[in-house]
Amino acid sequence: MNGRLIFVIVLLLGLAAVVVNVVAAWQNATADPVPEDVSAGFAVWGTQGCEGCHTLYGQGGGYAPDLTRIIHQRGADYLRAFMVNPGAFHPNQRQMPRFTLTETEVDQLIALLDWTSSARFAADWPPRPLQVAGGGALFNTSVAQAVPGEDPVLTRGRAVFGQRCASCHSIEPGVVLTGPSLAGIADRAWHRVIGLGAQEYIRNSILHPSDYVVEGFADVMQKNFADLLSSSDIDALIAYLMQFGEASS
Amino acid sequence: MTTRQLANRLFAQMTILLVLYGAAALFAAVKFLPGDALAVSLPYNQIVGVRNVLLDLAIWTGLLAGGLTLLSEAAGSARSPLLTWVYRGWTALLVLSLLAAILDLLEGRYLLELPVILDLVLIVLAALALAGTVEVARTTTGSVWWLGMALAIVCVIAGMIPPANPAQDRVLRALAVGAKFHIAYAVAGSAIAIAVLSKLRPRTSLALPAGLAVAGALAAISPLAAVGEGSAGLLLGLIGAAAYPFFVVIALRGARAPGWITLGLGMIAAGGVLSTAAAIPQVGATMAGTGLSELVIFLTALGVVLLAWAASPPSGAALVWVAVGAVVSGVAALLAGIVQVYVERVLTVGFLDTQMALAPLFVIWIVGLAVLAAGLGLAALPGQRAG
Ligand code: HEC
Ligand code: HEC
Repeated sequence: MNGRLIFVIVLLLGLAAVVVNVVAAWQNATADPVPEDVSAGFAVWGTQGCEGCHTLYGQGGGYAPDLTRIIHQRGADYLRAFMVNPGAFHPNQRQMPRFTLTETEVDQLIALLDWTSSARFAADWPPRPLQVAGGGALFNTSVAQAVPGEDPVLTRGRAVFGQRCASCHSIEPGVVLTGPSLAGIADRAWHRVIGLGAQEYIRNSILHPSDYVVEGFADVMQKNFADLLSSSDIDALIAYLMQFGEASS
Repeated sequence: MTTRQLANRLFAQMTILLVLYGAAALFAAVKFLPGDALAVSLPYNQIVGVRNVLLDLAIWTGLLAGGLTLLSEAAGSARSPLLTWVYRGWTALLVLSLLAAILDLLEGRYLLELPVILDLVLIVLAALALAGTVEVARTTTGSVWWLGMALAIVCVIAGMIPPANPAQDRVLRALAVGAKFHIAYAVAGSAIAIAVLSKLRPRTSLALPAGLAVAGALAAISPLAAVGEGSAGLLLGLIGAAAYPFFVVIALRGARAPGWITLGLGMIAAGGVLSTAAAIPQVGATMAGTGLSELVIFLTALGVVLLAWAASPPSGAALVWVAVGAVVSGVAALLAGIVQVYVERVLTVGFLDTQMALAPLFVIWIVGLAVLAAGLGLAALPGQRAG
């Protein structure tokens, strides 16, 4: 057979493989109906150029975090506050510019991010949760294990704190990130809300951050920890934070 | 104008595009370092859109120039009114694209930023160019080039289909980006390389384009592995990854291959190994969205440009700079990507903290890109044409 014919056959085989996979994936991508605000959100996503920096389903620009499951991680309130004023979050890190988005556009973007996180498409991706800041098994293991003989509940609390809270809260006195430093919180918590003990205050701060908003801060702490954390994780967090009294600050 | 003159003009346009691309790539890379003063006033997405458009147009221009060179060698350098008009149209397309880039009119689809109306112009001009060069398809290598270019047009059309949601967009990308770079461009570029190599030895073999066509299929669908489709399994992924170096070595064997071809094929092989390995589901799912998955496209793209350029290569001095820049920036980006995958995806440290930790590797990457940009600039200087 002549070489040219073999080449054409091989090329067609390769293309057939591509087409078969594309068709299968397309069916998967079209399985979920797309609500109107999601399509509108996707249009905003395109015109604002979000994809030049961010990835969705792992494709796009690698300059900023993947946003496929961000709503699950942060909750809609946080994202709303973030998009209106991104500069206020994660200071001293890579910054997202501020876009002039209307309230409707922000809602549509949030509808889009809600859809990407719940659609059946790519339900198994990513294999491990992706964090924007802080967190990580590094913090969980090496730092957590650095205290020999520690109560395992405190170790757990430290790990959860590293993964879920450290991106916004420092435990160093006076270090203000997106949220206040939690140094001295064990004592402060007693007189925050009349009738609430320190532990109850901290628990309530985690589950219902809007009930009491610390002066000088916006109400942007995410509101979905009840979904993200088990009750034993929350107990461990409280035990961990209760170590930080005034003496520590 | 004669086909030979047209080819030379197109090569000149390609070098200008590459110089601009080198500058944009450097500018975009600097933004990865902490403390970017222009993070908000001149954001990354704008720079990177311009960079991607410049690179894509440089590939198109270079491949067209390479094809015209093949034609002028196969059929003699004759006057062609049709191709002269295509060349004028192409010049207008490049000017309009640059204007669109400067005026921030690019679209927000990563690697598909050219506005649809200009896509349309590009398709028409490319189709006319193919009509004007059918004669080249009588030769073996010419026909491979012609098919690769025709496929590239189909891929651009796939990219014009408007997706209703990001999931559909991700799927269309396997055609509009994956098949375009890994199959169409790679096949067309390798045809030019083979035509050059066949002057250096008696035998012409199509093993290289055929190998790139099948392995490229795996590379094109590998991003779908992250979304549960296009998975190849361990064995097939490894075979695909091995295919790239295998066919490249076969093609280079027995000829003292020019440096531009060796470097170009090396970059395509490196990109190919990475992207076919990503067709292994676990690997693909873990590396999707990291620096590694981006690197794949740029290695392949630059590799194709170098192959097209081999039809009319610049001087050896420029080659040294381009090679050093490509290797240094490529290796640094590769290391940064691997560290990112491990720290961010395996240890689940936050994205921002991981990027901070990568700063030293980014510095090396940037130095490499600066050398590459300098090499491209050197190649664009007049009087730099070898032979
Ligand atoms: C110029 C690059 C750039 C563009 C364009 C961009 N972002 Fe971002 N974005 C970033 C960076 C950098 C971060 C991480 C910094 C941070 O979280 O403070 C980020 C973070 C985010 C986060 C996560 C915040 C968190 O803390 O969890 C969301 C949500 C987000 N961006 C949405 C968007 C949307 C929606 C758009 C389009 C309207 C967009 N971004 C466009 C750079 C960009
Ligand atoms: C997105 C950033 C963010 C994250 C993540 C976050 N917080 Fe907060 N947090 C804030 C902000 C902002 C405040 C202050 C405003 C308010 O009170 O709601 C706050 C307030 C608090 C307070 C009250 C402090 C005081 O002085 O009264 C506690 C306790 C707290 N957070 C605990 C946590 C814990 C525990 C976690 C992890 C499970 C966490 N936060 C995660 C932003 C965050």
